[in-house]
Amino acid sequence: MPEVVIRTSGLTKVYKETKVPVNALGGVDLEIMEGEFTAVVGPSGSGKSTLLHILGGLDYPTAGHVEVGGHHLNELNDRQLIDFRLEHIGFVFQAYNLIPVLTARENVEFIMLLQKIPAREREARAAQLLQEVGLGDRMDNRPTELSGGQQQRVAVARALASRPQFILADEPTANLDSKSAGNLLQMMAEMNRREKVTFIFSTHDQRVIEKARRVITLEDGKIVSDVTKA
Amino acid sequence: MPMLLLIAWRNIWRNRIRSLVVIAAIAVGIGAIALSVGFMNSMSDSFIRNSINHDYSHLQLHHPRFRQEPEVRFSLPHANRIVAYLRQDPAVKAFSRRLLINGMIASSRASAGVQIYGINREQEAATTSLDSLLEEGTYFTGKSRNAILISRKMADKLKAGLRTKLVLTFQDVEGNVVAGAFRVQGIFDSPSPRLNEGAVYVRQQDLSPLLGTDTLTHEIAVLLHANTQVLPEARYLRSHWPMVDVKTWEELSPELDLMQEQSGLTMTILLVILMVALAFGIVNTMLMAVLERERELGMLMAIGMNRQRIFSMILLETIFLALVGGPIGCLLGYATVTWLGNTGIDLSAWTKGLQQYGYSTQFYPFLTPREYFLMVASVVLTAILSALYPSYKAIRLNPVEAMRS
Repeated sequence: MPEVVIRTSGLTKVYKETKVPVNALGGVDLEIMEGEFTAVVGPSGSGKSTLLHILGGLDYPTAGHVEVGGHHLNELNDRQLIDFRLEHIGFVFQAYNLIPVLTARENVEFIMLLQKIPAREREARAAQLLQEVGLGDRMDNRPTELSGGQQQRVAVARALASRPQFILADEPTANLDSKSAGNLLQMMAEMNRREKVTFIFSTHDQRVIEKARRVITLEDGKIVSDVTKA
Repeated sequence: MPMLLLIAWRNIWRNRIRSLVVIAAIAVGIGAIALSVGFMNSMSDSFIRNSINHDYSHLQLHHPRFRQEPEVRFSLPHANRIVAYLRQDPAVKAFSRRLLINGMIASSRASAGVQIYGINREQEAATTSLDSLLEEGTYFTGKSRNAILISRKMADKLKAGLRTKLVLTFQDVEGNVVAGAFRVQGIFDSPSPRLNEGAVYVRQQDLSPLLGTDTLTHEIAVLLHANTQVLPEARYLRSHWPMVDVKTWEELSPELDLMQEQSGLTMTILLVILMVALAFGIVNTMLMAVLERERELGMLMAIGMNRQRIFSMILLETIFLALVGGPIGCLLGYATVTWLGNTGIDLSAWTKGLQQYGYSTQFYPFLTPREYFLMVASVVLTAILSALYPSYKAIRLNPVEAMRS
């Protein structure tokens, strides 16, 4: 029986930086189960990124509650949130965001180094993950020597390296050509099936929406539809 | 930690030109400081060496009251025994036993107050190289009695030349005013402004009859083989002859001590100026590096790199810049100072001015290991302090906003 990985209730976020406060999220109630392959969709400004940031412990809600793997994120301070992210969440960003001075292997190892995993285990896992994402022959290349699709694969390997409870992928295919995007999605879907890794996407990309087994649609900071495919 | 070191090291080479400019600034700055301090050292050393070799010597021995009241009657006690000891002491290179009287000197055209040195010809030459300082005339040669050596400055003041007759007037041991006629046999030019100003030299055997006694000794100047022997020798003499006033060159000449202090102060001021300039350069460079990498730093925080590690990474990048530039600067400074230390810097174009203040005209820059260490330590410390602000800016970044940038 899959467990609940994320649970939110009445999640609200109001940005007060401007003269007129912006309601980015207006009371989101959500449960995400272990092993889901979920896409959060919606037009620009609908609150997708805000929701992902709060679920990822990168931002605090103005009101409401968010619980990830039994941890109440509202109660963690900034320092505890960093440690929490390191141990529980994998991130894949739209712009890949690899460390440019490190090779593919070192980028994947880096997150395990932060987790203080012993060198031998680190090296073995980095090599295995890069093999799995199809970059066994590009391990010693730096990001600038890899294509966009290859960089995003390294980013996925890095996100998986810390053995997170779930992976948050913010528009992961937005910067990729059609073929690379297709390959990347295929690879993530296989990992989801094989390893039961939970993926949550924020996306506009129709291909991601088609691949996702659950699609949550946001509009004006509220969930307007939540469809789980058969 | 090694991965953090690796990232920091590779990061500084991301913008090669900018890093090289900072490294070059550090290196040239240290090189320039090394040369300046080396030159200051050589000036200070030249002044001190001249003072020791041609004026004060390493040690001087007097009657305990003589320096405050320089009267003829305050003769050095146990002078013969002290001389006997100094003759067999291996630390002593030379010594000069002197009579020292304040008096007046007069030519037919002018007069002046002087300090009359009654010396032993050989002892004085060995101790202060007085014979080598003669510009004109000879150093107490021949059998002519009542020869006198005066400085160029005194000669000009008295409008005297070689063989001019001069009259010395002073008090004898009984307090009577006595006078003696002396003929100029040599004119010297000493590196010591004090001696040029008011010292004249005559032979003891010519002065003693005028004083009415030949048993007096007012001063023994002692030249040692090495400066390091000064304090042990002074301690020994003080413990064996407690009734004798033993003074080291530093005690005799506060200006020499001041000179050394000034040299240290100059180095400190130069270092501070360089370090402030360096600090601005480093802060500027590292701030640019942080601002350029906001997105990357935000991503690092997002994936779980804590602020302490981010702080350490920026700090390490700065330290690496200093650690590359520092040794290059030291090598540059070492090479320049060593080369100039061998060839010397010739400032003979300014001979008159330099000699007026007791300097030589040839300078040989040098630096002590302590000064090299101080320079490197200051650079590293400055780098660390300058990196604090950019590192602080880095850890204040909000990961979400930084990634949006």
